[in-house]
Amino acid sequence: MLVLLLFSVLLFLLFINIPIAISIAVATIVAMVAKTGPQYLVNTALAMYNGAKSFPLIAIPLFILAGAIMNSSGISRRLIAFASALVGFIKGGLSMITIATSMFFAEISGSAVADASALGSILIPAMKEKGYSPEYAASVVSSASSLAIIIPPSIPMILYAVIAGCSVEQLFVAGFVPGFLGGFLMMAVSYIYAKRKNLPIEESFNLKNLKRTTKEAALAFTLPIIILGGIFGGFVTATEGAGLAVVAALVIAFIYKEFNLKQFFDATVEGGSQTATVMLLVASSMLLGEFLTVEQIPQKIALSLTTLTQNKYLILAILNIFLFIIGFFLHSAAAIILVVPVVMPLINSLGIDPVHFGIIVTLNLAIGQQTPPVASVLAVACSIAKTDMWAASKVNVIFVAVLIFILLLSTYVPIVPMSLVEYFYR
Amino acid sequence: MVSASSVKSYDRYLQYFIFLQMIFLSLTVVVGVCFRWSGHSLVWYDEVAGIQLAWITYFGSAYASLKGLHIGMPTLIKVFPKDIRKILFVISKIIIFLFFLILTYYGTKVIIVLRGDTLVTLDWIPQSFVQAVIPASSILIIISEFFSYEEAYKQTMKD
Repeated sequence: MLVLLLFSVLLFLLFINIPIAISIAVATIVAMVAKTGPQYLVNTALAMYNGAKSFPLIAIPLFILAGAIMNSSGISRRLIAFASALVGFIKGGLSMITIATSMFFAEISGSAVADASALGSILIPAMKEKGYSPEYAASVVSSASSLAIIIPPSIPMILYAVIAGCSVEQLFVAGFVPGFLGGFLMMAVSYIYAKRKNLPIEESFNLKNLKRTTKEAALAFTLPIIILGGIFGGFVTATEGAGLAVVAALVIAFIYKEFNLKQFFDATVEGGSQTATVMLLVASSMLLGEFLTVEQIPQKIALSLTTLTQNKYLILAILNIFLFIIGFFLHSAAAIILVVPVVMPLINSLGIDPVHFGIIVTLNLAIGQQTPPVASVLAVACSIAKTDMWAASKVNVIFVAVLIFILLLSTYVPIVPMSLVEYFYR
Repeated sequence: MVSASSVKSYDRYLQYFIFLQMIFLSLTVVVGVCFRWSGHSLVWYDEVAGIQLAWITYFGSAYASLKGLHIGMPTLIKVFPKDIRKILFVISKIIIFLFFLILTYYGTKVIIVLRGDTLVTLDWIPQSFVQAVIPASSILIIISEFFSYEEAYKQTMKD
């Protein structure tokens, strides 16, 4: 009965456009007050405070800040120039450059929205100028930007790891193969598309030019080595790696002498507010988590599903369909916070590796970022391209298909995401 | 009505505060790593960084409220006709105000209860000071919601 009350209130609040974090908190308060009386309210303030000070989650604002510095310091421009020299000679050169740069960006930044905004503002106008349709330009930027959450570091992975209680570092390692495979497949798809639409090359291949742009971007290449090398080498934790990323990005920005202080200030404030919106969700999920524990909802769901079937692949198929559907309606952070605590007992009882499931969740979130009406990354790309999100979605199907293929491959051939984890950690 | 210039100043002060918080958090983590590497780990590092994150969360939320950046599902309300949307908009704002008033009241009660307690690792910092973020930011969020309701109303009524 209380569960019904909670979910009815939650649905009503979401329908009248109350932010998800506040909706979760209010719905939980209503259910808990109905159960225990108004004395529960004192707990609200304490839980909301404690929920927002989780140490591993400090990595989130720091990775956002590192990305903000990178975007304000000429690093993006150099990386695009390097990608242009490397793959610009292939048919549909600008889309190749977009995907290649996104794959590199993904190793420094953990936010797809930030990448779409940073790369899109440069590459979408360039694509439109070269005769690419605005829908295609928005699609390629949007889908390639979602690689940011699959290739480490990744903000949704940090969030998942904290909620599921698994290793952030292992989850980061598991993202490598699916992320790069997805990037290369997107390149193949955009090549076929470019051939059909006769899209131009960007520049002819020139070894001298490649050497020059590599030299110019050399310092930027050290960023992923510092961040990921430090984390995977066991020198720093993910949070400390994020702190180092900030320092390294600042040092490189000063060396490049293109640091724009105003842009940095704005990006940092934006990063702070992005952190706040995600962390407020985390804090309110503390309240929901307490309720779920008291009512034993996750255990009940696990029990009812496992009495239906014990086949873990079938359960994963059900969960994939469920995550795919909610991806249409929920922002990635909200999806993690609402779904992960509920399904974890089920995942554990079936003996599914939480790291493997983390990759499955992350890939579903990457797809969710592309599927309207709630498609955070596609929305950013479309607003830059000045095109309609639904029209862009029709073109974006080809890239979403790539992400779905990677999702199915990672779900049913666990060695794809888990091979590096086994090699490094087990 | 509130003047545009006071909203602008409020917006600006919130931005400066968030910016400084982000920089301080980065400094704390970097200093923490350096000391750990030097073999002299800072005992207060985890606790202080966690508190800084909580402060960014709540003061950042006040800014996010002002700019309408909180994650929601704004398309759902559009299924209702405009007359009903108007009523639902008012209800939604009342619920948000009530929630943050409750947080202000009980957050203040928590501070009173915690009077005399200090942080575990830094015993000269009172718990009531760090936990004041809940009532203080709740008041700021109410102010932000008040400053931004016109824009939020326009967005709700737009098809």
